[in-house]
Amino acid sequence: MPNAPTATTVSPMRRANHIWANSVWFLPLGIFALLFLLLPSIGLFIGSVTGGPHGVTLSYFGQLFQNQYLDAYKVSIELSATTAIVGAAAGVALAWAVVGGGLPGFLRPFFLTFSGVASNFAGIPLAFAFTASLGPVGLVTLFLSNHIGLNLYKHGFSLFGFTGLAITYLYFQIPLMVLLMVPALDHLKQWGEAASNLGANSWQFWWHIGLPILRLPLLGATLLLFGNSFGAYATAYALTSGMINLVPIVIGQELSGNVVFSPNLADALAVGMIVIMITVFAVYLITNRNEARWQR
Amino acid sequence: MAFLDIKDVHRQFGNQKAVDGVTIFVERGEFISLLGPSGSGKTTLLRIIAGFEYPDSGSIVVDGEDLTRTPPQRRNMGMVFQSYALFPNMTAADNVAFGLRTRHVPSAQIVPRVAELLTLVGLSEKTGRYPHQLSGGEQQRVALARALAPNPRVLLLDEPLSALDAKIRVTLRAEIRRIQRTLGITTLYVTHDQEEALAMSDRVVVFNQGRAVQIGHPEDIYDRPANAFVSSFVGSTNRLHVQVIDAASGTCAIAGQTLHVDELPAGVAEGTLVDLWLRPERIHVVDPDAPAGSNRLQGIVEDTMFLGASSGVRLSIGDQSVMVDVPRDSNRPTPVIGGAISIDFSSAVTATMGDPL
Amino acid sequence: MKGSRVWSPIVGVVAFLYFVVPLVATAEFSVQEGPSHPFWAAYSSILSSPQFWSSLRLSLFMAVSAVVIGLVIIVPATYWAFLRAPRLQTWVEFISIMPFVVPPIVLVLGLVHLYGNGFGPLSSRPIMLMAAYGVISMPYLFRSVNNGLRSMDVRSLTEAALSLGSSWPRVLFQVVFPNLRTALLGGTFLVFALIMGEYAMSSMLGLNTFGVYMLLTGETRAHAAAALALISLALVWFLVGVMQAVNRGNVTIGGAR
Repeated sequence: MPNAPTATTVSPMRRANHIWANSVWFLPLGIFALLFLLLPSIGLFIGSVTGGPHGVTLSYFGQLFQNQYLDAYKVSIELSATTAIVGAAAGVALAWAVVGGGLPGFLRPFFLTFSGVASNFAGIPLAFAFTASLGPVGLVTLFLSNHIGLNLYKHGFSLFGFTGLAITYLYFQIPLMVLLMVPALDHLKQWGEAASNLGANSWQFWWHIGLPILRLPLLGATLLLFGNSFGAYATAYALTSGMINLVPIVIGQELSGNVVFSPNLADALAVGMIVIMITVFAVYLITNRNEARWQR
Repeated sequence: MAFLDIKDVHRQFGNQKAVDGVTIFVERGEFISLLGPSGSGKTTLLRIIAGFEYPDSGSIVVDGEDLTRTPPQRRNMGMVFQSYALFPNMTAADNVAFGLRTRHVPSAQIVPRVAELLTLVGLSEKTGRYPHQLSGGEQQRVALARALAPNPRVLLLDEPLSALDAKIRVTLRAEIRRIQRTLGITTLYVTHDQEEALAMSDRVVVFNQGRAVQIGHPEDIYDRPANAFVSSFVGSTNRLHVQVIDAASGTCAIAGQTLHVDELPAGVAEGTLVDLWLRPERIHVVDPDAPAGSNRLQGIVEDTMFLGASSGVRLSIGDQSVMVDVPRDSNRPTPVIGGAISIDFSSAVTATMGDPL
Repeated sequence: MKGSRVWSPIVGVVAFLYFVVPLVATAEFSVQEGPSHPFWAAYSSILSSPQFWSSLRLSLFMAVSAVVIGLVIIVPATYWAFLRAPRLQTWVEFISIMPFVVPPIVLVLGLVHLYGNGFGPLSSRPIMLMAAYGVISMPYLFRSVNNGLRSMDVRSLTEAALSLGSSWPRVLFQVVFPNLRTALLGGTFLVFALIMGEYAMSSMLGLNTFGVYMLLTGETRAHAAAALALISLALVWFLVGVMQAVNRGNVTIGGAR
C-alpha cells in the first residue's frame, strides 16, 4: 500500500505542464478559428436578433418571409437543387462512360485532370466563357441562328436568367460530381463484372446492385453539389450584373452599400444561409456514416 | 477437339503483349492451373475466357461453340473473383440466387438450389448473413457457391485464395478440389502460388511474359522443367554453372571435378558454359568412401539450418554454392560447418544453355 | 455491360461539346478585337496594363499569406491530435471543415460587421481579406495534411525518430515535414488556384485583386475579358495539373464560385 500508488500518480504540476504542452499545438488553430470564424458567425446571429429599438427581436427573421427575401431563398434553393440534380445525373453518366469501359481507357487520365480543372474553373472567367458562347453575340448563339435558323433569344432564352445560370453552373457541377463518384464507380466495376458473369443485363445490374450500392454515395455527393452552388456568388454576379435575386447577391448589395437596408436584416439573411448549409452538411455526414456499413 | 479450346490467343495493351499466342486444350472435367508471376498474362487470359476482355486474335471455343465475341452474360461461365465481388447489399443466399434469377429460374427451384450449394460449401447456417458479416474464408465460399449455382459449363477462379491467411488457404484449396471433383466441372484456376498449382491440378500451365512456356502434369513440371524459367519459378532449385568438356559423352567440369549429364542442350560446343538445375531434395549427402553413384562432387559445408522435417545444408563447390535437403536421420551426424562433404546426384538432370534468367 | 458500349460514345460526345465549345468560343472571341487590330491585340493590351500586374501581384501575395496562415494553424493541430490527442481529432476536423457551411459572402459580412468599425489592426481590410482567405484554406489543408499523416504511418516514424534520440524539433523538421511535403503541396496548389480567381470577398472588401480586375475589364472591354478568362484558365490548369501530378487521385471540392 505505501508505495503502490506513487508510481502511477501524476503530480498536479506535471499535469498542468502536460495540458500546457498539449494546448500549444492547438492554440493557433483555436485562436484563429475563434477570431475569424466563430466570433463573426456569432456576431451575425446576435446582429440578426438585436438592433431594433426594443432589444432582442425576431422581426428581422420575420422579414425574411416578405416576398423579396422569400423569393431570393426560393430562387437560390431552386437553382442549387436544379444544378445539383442535373449535375449529379450527368456527372454519374459521364463518369460511368469512362470508368465502366464504354469509352477507350486512354481517355481516363485526361478526363480526370480536366474534371479537376473544370471543377475549379468558376467565377468571373467562367461567366466570360459562357458569354462568349451563349451570350447574345456568342459563338453558339450566332452559329444556331446563322446556320440552323434557331434564334435562341427570340425564343425567350437568356444566358442572364435562371436557365442560363443553371447551364453555366453545370460547368463546374458536373466535373465535381465526376470527381466525387469516380472512386465509388471504380469500386462498382467489379460487381458489374460479377453480375454479367452471372448472366445479368445492364438493367438487372443497375436495378439490383448498382443503385442500391450507390444510393447513399449519390445522395451525399448531390448534397455537396447543392452546397457548392448555394453559396456561389461570383459567377451569378458577373453573368447577371447582380440582377438575379439570389440570397448571396442580396447580401452583397447590403455589403457594397448599393442598396440601403438594415445591416441586421443582412445578418438574418446570412444566418438563414448558414442554417441551410448546416442542414445540408449534416445530412451529408449522416449518409456518409451509414455508407461505411457496407463499404469497408 | 477438346471441351474448351483456347486457340492462339493474342492480346496487347498499348505496346505490351499481355497474352502472346497462347493455345490450351482443356478436357471435360479437367482442373487446370494457370501459374505464373504477376503480369505474366494469366489473369488477362482468364478474363478473355470469361468475356471481360476480347482477344486481338485467336478464339475461345466451348463444346464446339465459338464464344470469342459472345458477351459475358451469355457465356454461362462461373467466375470467382480475386476480391470475391460479393454484392454487399445482398445476403449470402441472395448472392447465390442472383445468377438463377437473371436466368428467370422459377423461385420454387431457386430456394432448394441455393440451400444445396450453401450446404455444399459448408455455409448452410449462414444463409442470411451479409458479406460484411462473414469472414474472408466464408466470403470465399459464398463466391464459389454463387459461381456454381447456375450450373456453368466452365468454372474460372482468379487467385481466389490470395487474400486469405496460410492455414485457411490450405483447407480451402482441398475443399475447392473436393467440390470440383464432386461436380466434375471443367475448371481453370489462376494462381501465382506454385505449391497451390502443383497440389490441386490435373495439369499446370506455366506462364511467362504472355506465353504458356510449359503445359504438363504437376510431376512433369516439377521434375522435367522445360527451361530455366520454369525450373526457377516452380519449387526451389540450385543453378550450377558447369563447363562442357566432351559434348558427345556429356562430360562436364566444375571447380576441377568432372560430372556426367545425360542430355546436354542441342549443339553445345566444347568449352561452353551450361546451367544445371538441381532440386535440393534430389541431391544426396553420402559418405566420402561409399561407392560412387552417377555424379559425385566434393564441397565444404558453409551453413546448416533446421527446417523441421529436414535440415538444409549450404555447401560450396569452388566459388558456387549449393543447397541440399538432408532428411533428419539420427544415424548420420549433422554436417559440421567448415567440414568436407560429399554429394551425389543423378545424371538425368535438366541442363540449359548458360542463359541469364 | 453491353448497354454502356452503346450510349457511352453519345455521352462522351455531348460532354465533349459542352465542355470544349465555351473554351473555343472564348479563344475565338479573344482574337477578334476588330479588323484594324492584330489578333493578339487583346493579349498585348492586357499584358501591358499596369493594373493587370498589380492585381496579379496582390492576389499572389494574398494566396501566399493564406497558405502560410493555413499551414501554421492546421499542421500543428492536426499532427498533434493525430499523434497524441486522438480525442481532439474530431474537434480539429470539425473546426477545419466548418468553413464549408459558411459561404464566402457570409464570412465577409460577419467580419465586416464585427471588425469593420474599428478593432485595431483587425479593421484593416487587407488583413480581413487575408484572414478570410486563411479560413477558406482550412478544409483543403486539413484534408491534405490528414491524408498525408494517414498514408505515412506518422506514429511509427515519430517513435522511431524519438527512440534514435531525436529531439522534438528535429522530429518535426527532419522527419514529419519532409514526408508530408507531397501531401501538403496538393492542398497548397488547390488553395492557390481558388484564391487567384477569387472575386466575392475581395470585391466586398474593396481590394483590387485579380478577380476584381477581371470583372472590371469585362464591363468595358469584352475581347480583353475573353483573353483574361483564358489566361486565368491556363493558370488554374497549371496549378491543378501540378497538384494532380504530386497528389494522384485526390478529390477536390469547391472553387471560387
